[in-house]
Amino acid sequence: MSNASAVSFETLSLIGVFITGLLAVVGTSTVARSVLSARRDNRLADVRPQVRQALLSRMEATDPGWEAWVGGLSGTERRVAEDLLEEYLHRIRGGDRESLQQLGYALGIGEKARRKLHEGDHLERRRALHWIARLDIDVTIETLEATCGGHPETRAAAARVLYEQDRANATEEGTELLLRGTGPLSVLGMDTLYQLNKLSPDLLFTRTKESYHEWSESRLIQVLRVIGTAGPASPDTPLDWIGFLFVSESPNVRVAAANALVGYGWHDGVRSAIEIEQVRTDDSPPVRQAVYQMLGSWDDEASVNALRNALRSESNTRAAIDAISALGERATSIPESELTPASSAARDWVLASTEPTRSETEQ
Amino acid sequence: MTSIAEALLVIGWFVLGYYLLVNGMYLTVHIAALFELRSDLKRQAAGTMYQRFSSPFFPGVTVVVPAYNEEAVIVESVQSLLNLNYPELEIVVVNDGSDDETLSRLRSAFDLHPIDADVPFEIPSEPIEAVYRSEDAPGLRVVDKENGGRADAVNAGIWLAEQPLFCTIDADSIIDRDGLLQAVEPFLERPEETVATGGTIRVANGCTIENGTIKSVNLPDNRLAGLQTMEYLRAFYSGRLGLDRLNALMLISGAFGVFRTDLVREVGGYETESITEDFELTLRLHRYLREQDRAYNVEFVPEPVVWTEVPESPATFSRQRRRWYRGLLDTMARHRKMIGRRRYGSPGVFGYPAFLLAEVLGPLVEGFGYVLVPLAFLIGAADASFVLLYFGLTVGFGVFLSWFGILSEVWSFRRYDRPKQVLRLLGYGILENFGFRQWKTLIAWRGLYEYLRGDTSWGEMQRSGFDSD
Repeated sequence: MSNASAVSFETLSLIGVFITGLLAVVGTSTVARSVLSARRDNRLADVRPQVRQALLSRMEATDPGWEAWVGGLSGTERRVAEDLLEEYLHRIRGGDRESLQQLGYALGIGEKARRKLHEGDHLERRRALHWIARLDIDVTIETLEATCGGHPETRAAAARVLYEQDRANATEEGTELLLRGTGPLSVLGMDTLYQLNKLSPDLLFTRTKESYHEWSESRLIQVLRVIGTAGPASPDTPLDWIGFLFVSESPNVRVAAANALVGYGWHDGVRSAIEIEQVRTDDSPPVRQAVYQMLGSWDDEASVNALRNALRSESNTRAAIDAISALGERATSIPESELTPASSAARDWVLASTEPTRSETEQ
Repeated sequence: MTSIAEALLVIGWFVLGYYLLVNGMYLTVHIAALFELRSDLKRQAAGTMYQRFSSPFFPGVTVVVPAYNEEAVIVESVQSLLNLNYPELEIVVVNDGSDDETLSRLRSAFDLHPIDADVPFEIPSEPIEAVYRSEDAPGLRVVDKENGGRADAVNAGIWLAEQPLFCTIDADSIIDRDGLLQAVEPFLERPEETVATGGTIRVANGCTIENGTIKSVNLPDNRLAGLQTMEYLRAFYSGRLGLDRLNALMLISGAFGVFRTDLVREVGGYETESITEDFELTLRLHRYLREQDRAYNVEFVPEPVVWTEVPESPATFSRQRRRWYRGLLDTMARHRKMIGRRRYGSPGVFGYPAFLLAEVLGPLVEGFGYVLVPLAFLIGAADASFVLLYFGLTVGFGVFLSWFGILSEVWSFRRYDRPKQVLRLLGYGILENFGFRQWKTLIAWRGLYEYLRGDTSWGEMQRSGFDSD
C-alpha cells in the first residue's frame, strides 16, 4: 500500500466534518426556510377572506374606526391588511381611497415610511417613497431633495411622489430631479418623466437643448422617446437647434430624433432646422427608415416628394418598405421604371401584405 | 510501487486537485449569484411605482417560434403566445419543412392566407415556400420553408421580423404571462447598450397546464425529469445569475432569449453549422462587440420564466446531452481566440476559461477519475483513505452545490412552494451523485468521440403535448 496515497485519519475526519457541517447548514436552512415560508403562506391565506371582508365593509362606513380595528388584529392579520391595502390603493380613487389612506396611518405605515426615508438605504427609501405616494403623505420638496437626491433610483421615486400627489410645480421639480446627472434613467424614471411632461414637452426640449451634449447616449435616446410620445410642444418653442441631433455619431440617436419629430411637421422651427434631402440620404438604413416614417407622418408636398425621390435611389429593401408604407396609396402611381429593384420588390411585398383580409372586406 | 502504480497515483491526485479547482470556481460563481439574488430581491421588495403594461415605452417584440414536426403542441403554443401580456407583439412561426401536420393545423386554427408576393430581401436560410398571415390573429405570420434545422428556421424568422427586438422561444415551451415585459426592461433602462437578455428556464413536466398557461407547479413523477429539475435550478439561479454578476454571461438560451433584431442580422444571424447555435451566437456577439469597442450589455433577468418539457427517457436525454456537449466543443473551438484575452473583457478573462475548465474538461476529468481511482485502489497504488477522500469530496461538494441552488430557489422566487417539493429536490441533489453524474460523464466522453468523428446530428425529441396531465 502506498504511503503517498495515504491520507491521515485526522485529515479525513476534518474534511468529513467540514463537508458534513456545510451540508447541514445549507440543508437545514433550506428546509427551515421552506417550512416557515409555507406555514406563513397558509396562515396568511387562512385569515385573508375575513380580513378582506372586514376591510371592505369598514371602508364604506362613515366612520371606519380604523384605529380600533387595527388594535384588535393579530400580527398575521395586520400583514394581510397591509397587503390588501397596497393592492386596493393601486386601483381605488376618490373617497374610498382617502379612507384607505387613513387605514395606512392606523397600521403605522406612514410613520415607518417617514423613518425609513431618513434612515434607510436607497432601496428602503424607494419602498418608503412608494408608501408616501400611496398614502399621500406630505413630505416637503426640501426633504425629498435631501434624502433622495443622491441616487438615481430614489430621485425617480421622489419625482413619482410629486406626480402622484399632483403637487404644484411637480413638472418642473420632478423633471429637475430626474434629469440630474448624465446617466440613463430607470424604467420608473422614464415613465415618470413622461407622466410629468405628457401634456407638453416644452420643458424637455429646453433641457435637451441645454444638456444633450453632456448626457449619455442612452439618456438622450430616452428623453427623445419621451418627447416623441408626449403631446405637441407649443408653436413658440424654439426648435431650430434640433438639426444637431441628426449629426450625432450614434445612429440610434439619429433614429430617436426622427421618431421624436414624427408629430412636428407643422412646426416652423423643426422644418427650418432639418435639411430633408440630407437626412433622407443618411448612410444608415435604420436612420433612413425612421426618417421615411417621419416624412410620411408630415405628409406635405415636400415630404411626399422626398419619399418619391427616395424610392428612385433606395438600395435597401427594408428602408424601401418603410418609404412605400409611408407613401401609402400614392406609391402605386410611381412608374415601375423609376423604381430601384429594392423599391420595386418592396412595393409588391407591401401591397400584397396589406391587402384587406376577408374579414376586413366583409366589414 | 511499480511505475504504473506511481503514475496512476499521480494522476489520481491531479484529478482530485482539478476537481477542487473547478468546484472552487463554481463556488465563486454561486456566491456571486447570492449577491445578485439579494440585490434583485431587495429591488423587488421596494415595489413598482408604475404599471408596466400601460407604459408606452416598451419596444415592439417579434416572437420567433421555430417548429419542426410540432403538431402535438403548435396550436396551443401559439395560442399561449397570443395571450402574452405585452403591448406590441408580433409572432412569426417558422415551419421548418415539417413532415407532419404542423402547417395544416396552424392553417385551420388561425385561418391563414398566403401573401401573394416574393419576399423582397434575401434571407440566409433554406428557400421559403410561402409566408402566411392570419385572418384571426393580426399579429401572427407563419413562414413555410424547406427544412434546414433550428438555426436556419430562426434566421428566417429574424429576417422577416418587423419589430426592433426579437425573442426566440421553442414551440414546446410556455412563457409566463408577464415574462416578456420583464425580459425587455433592460432594453428600456440602457437602450444604447443592451443587446440581449435571457430569462430562467424551468421544467414543465409534471406541471398542470391549461390553455397554454401553467396552472400549478409540480415536480415530475419521472425520476430523470426530476433530476433535471434540480439541475436547471442550479444552472440558472446559481450559474447564470453568478456569471451575470461577474459580467461574464456566456449563454442566452435558445428556449428564451430577447435580442436586438438589427444587431443579430448585422452579425449574420444564427450559425446554421452549429448544433448549439444559442451558445455560439452569444459568444459571437461578445466577440463582435468587443472587437468593435462598443459598450454593450448582455443581461440575465431571473424572474421571467419559460417552462419547457425535458426528456424522460434515458435514450432521449443522452442524445440531447451529447448534442449539447458536441456543440459546446464546437463553439469553444470556434471562439478559442477569446481565451484569457483582456480585449474580450470578463467573457474572455473569466467566462471562457471557466467554461473550458468546468464544462468542457470537467466532466471528462471527472469521468476519468471514476475509472482511475478504483483501479488504483485495486492494484494497490492507492489506499482506502485516498478512495474515501476522492468520493467524499466529489459527492460532498456535488450535493453542496446542488443544495445551494435549491436554497436560492427557496430564498427567492419559490415556485416550488411546498416543503415536500423542496425535500424531494434536496433528495435529487443527493441521488444525482449515485449514477446520474457518472452517467453524464460517460455521455460527455461519448459526445467527445462523436465530435471527433464529425457527427453533427440533432436527434429528435418526442413531444407529448401540453395538456397531457
